[in-house]
Amino acid sequence: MAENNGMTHRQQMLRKIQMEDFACFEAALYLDTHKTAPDALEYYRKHAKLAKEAREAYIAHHGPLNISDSKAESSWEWTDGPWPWEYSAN
Amino acid sequence: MWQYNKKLQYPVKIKEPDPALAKLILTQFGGPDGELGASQRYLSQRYGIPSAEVRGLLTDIGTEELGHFEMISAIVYQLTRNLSVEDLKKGGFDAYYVDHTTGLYPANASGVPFSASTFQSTGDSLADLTEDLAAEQKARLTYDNILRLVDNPDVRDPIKFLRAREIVHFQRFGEAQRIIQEQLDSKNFYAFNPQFDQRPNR
Repeated sequence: MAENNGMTHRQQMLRKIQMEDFACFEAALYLDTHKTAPDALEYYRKHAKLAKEAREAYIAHHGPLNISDSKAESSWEWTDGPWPWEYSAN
Repeated sequence: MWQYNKKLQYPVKIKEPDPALAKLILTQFGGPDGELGASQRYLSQRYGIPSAEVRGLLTDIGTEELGHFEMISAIVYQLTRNLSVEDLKKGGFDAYYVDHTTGLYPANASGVPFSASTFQSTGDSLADLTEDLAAEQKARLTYDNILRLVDNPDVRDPIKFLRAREIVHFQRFGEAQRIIQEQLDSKNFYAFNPQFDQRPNR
């Protein structure tokens, strides 16, 4: 697998999801207490779109992130390693 | 309900095991101001809160704490990989080892098991949110204490992320407290909340 800064393609794609999901989650907490803030709503929409794209790209190459992403074709890939707490997953 | 996402909220990638450090960081797993207690505190308190926004906020922060519980577990897990008996004796990890080997067990830094007596759920939203503000400060200072003791950049990086989250949660809980106080009675500047006596139909 191609390496970049010591990270595999899968690790790079995972970082992208972690960044975009974090941007969405942080905006979500802010919106919980500021539900009509226009800048935060726009920021959330922008990063939700990027998060969705990053997630779809990851799943296409590296398998499910959520159990509902499972294709369930010839093998149950949900349990394929590594799991998130393992050194090699990060 | 909850669904598992197969990723950490923020990466944990620790090259060198260090059982002495694992023993200290364990307290944010099962200690008095740790992430397990935080998640159970907010997710227990949320039910009767008289504001939909704040019920949402407690659900979301409680859920994030479950993710932090997983990150702390990952740090402890990776710090205790491939240990020899010599390593764990030298790191003072032998007392933990004899009970748990290197399995993850929610306890504080001196080995006292997790207890729900470290938090409250009172049915009084102003009392609960005041506790939550203190809880975020106590978790933040525990991370500050950990950062003073740790040099390893692989460990400092996720700990600094977790510390920053405590600061953000403190901000949001302050706003939640203000929202509840205003919704109950805008003249109630003495901040008591007779929630039990004034229940609307929900």
